[in-house]
Amino acid sequence: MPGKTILFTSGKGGVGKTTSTANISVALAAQDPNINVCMIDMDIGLRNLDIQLGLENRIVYNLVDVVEGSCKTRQALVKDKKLPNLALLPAAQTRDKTAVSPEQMVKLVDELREMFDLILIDSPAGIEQGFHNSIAGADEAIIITTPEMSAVRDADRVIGLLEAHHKKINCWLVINRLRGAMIKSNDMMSVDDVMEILGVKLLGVIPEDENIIVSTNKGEPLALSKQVNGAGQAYRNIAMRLTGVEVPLMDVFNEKQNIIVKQFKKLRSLIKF
Amino acid sequence: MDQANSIIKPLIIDLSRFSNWLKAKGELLSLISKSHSFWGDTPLTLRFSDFHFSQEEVESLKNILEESNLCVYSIQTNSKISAKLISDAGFLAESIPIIRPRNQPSIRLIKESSNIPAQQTYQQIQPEIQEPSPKLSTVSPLKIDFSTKQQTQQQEKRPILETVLPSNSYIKNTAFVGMHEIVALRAGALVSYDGNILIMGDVNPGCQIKATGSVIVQGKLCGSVHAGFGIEDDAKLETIVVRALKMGEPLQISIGEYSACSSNESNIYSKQKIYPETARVIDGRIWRVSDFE
Repeated sequence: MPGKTILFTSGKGGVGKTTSTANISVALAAQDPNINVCMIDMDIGLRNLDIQLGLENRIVYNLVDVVEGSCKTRQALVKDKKLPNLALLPAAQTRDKTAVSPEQMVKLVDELREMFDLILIDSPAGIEQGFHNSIAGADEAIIITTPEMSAVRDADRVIGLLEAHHKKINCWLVINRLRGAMIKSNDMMSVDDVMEILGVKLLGVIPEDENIIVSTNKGEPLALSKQVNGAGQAYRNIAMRLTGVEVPLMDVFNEKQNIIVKQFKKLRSLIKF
Repeated sequence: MDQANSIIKPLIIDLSRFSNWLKAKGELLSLISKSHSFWGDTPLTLRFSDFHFSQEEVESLKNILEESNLCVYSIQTNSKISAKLISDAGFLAESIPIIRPRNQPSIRLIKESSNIPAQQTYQQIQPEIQEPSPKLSTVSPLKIDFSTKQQTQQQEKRPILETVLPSNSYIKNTAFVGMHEIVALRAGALVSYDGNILIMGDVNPGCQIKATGSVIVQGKLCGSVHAGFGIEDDAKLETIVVRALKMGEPLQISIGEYSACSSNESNIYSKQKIYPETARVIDGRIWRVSDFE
């Protein structure tokens, strides 16, 4: 059966597309060793996906080489360090987004569909050539947004572009970087506020987590860690929902855990002095 | 000047957005200092909201008005207590007039074609409407732009209203944007038409709608709307309307040459009930008229 393509896009930059692509594909590959997962980094010129996976030293060929014919697809794919069923097709650092056209992308994605069951495409920010390249091969799209007016406005524009596309693309929504305390004190848009404007099916929510910064710098995706009730667990939940398992939405307000953490911090500060 | 035949039309100073006397007083004083010489001897009407005046507040109002030497025709307020105190102080107290939508040819009324006055007045209007307005004539009939490519699907839609209305009706060409598989008109959409536009869905912020006639939205309306594009005649502008089930938050409405925008006081954190509102031009300003008072 040919593979399915999922596009991660947002419109606005910096909302967490690359982080989500890395974590969700790692969670999908770890969940089921029988399916083959491939990631494509479409941010040609500003490649980031390899850093988040810790594979930057292992890149020999890249996407632009494959499209131009300088190498075979198999040679450009980089296998993950820990998971044998996960591979990455990295972008070029020395070219820019005009190096690839949508027609070339369609051919490349068709070739990859025969080798993999799931293909996850990380789109660049914006709505220009890079975005059109990424849409070309996509069956479904996951829109990533943060609960801020500017991100929601840009996500709305992107959803409009996807709906106007000639191919029928299913859209899902992931809301990233939610802070429970700010939502309670009405300083941040809640999930309902975002859904009221966008009106797209919700796939998952991810709370704000400091460990993300550590994991992206080190190159070890957070979805593999043993953390419970953080961003890692949220990514694992999303991966489970994508394969059909129903998981309840994560509790962003995290009341129980906050009390325990506060008491622990209090105790620790008492012991120090 | 014969007093019996003249109609006094005072200039209305609207302070009804202030909920107490202190704020209204501040605004009134700043207005007086700015526009004093501009008003001159024009009769004025001050309009306050529903708060109750106290005796001291009426005294201070009286002092302000006497010091500034303004010609005050009346003071409008909806509260009976304030009205009594104001009339005791020697001013003419009125209640704020309730604005009701006028009985004008709307989509609903055209069906009862006997209400249209005389064939004569209709024919005076008709030839002018048939000329396409010069500014939009270079635009293709209906254009919904999400990107640089033009969408030609919507051009083939015939306006559904034409089959219901008589063929020589006042509303000649109306574009009907019926949303088939989409929930709302997303950000970045540009809808322009030489005629009226009827949209059966939401309009999200970031959209632009331009029409030479009215714009009616069966949903939430945000973004920027320009109805009556290119029309300068005030009499025609009074029949052009912008109507929505809910006027959303970042909203800019222009009718003809006049424009208005939504206030910034309530933001996304206050949920407002859905109630239908119409915006139309009355006496040179855009007014929001609700059907429910």
